[in-house]
Amino acid sequence: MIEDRLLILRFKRGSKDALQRIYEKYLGFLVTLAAALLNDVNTAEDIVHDFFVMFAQSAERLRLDGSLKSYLATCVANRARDEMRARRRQSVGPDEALSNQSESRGPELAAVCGEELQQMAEAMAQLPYEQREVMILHLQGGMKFTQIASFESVSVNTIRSRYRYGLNKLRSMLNTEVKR
Amino acid sequence: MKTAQIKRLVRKLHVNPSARMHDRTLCDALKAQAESQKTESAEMHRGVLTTIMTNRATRLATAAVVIVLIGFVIVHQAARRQIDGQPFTDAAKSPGEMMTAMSLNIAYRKGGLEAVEKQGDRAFKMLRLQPTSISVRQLLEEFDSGEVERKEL
Repeated sequence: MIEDRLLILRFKRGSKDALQRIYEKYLGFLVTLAAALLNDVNTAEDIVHDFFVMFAQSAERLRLDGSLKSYLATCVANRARDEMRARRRQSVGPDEALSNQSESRGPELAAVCGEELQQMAEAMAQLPYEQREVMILHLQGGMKFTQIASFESVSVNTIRSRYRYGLNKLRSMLNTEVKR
Repeated sequence: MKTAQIKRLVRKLHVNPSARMHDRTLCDALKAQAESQKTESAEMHRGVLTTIMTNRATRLATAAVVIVLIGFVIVHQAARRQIDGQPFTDAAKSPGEMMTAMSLNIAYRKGGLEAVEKQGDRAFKMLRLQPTSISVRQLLEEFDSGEVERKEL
């Protein structure tokens, strides 16, 4: 946390080393986050690339009160959500716009994970986007429900419900897989 | 599968970004940072100049400040040179300057009465006057004794 604060201070003063350190520290986390949200590794990499370029340009305008990790996670999640909306508009008809399935265009998350995690990644891809987003931001990003609620502009109870439903669905899907 | 196990597996999900993506993103980000720094400093510089030059009042105020600053620097430099930099004999060049109150004051501060006397001698020599029969000290002593006599009376 203190290291992040120092990194942000140095980054705002134009330090290249600080930017590089932030990049190296959080790149893997952000790509994983985006890939889990989109179920598409290539698009996740593109989103993270665009985000880092934008982040590097906005050093002087950056106003950060909370944790750097949460901030980065929120930014990437926003971009992932925009990407999902764009995909729905482009390729899915209006009747299917609320479809729960995510469409992947590159290698899926399950394909790049180890065998143990493949089932989990496939099950995650079956979840509705809203539930997946809450689960990933909470479990992977370490964000609190209140933070996710303010980021998504919904109530904390809604976020808790999404998380609970997501977890239950995952459990039932994975237990069905195990029974087979 | 238990809830705790599901949570653990979600936390364990990890994607290693490709090396090509890693290098390209870092390179682009550093480039973007350098470009944005250049643009911002140029914009700030231009902003200050534009603010000064567009308004007549700020233009005059800036000119006045510059003139005052230059004058202050010149006066300050001259005073420093006169007091610290050179020996008292160089503080004034011509005999007229040597006998001014300022130069005598500086000479006194530098070397006391002897310095005043030397400066006076130098000035008189330059004027081809020869007041060698009586020194400044004697003159002052006479002046002091005259004062004493006057007081006694």
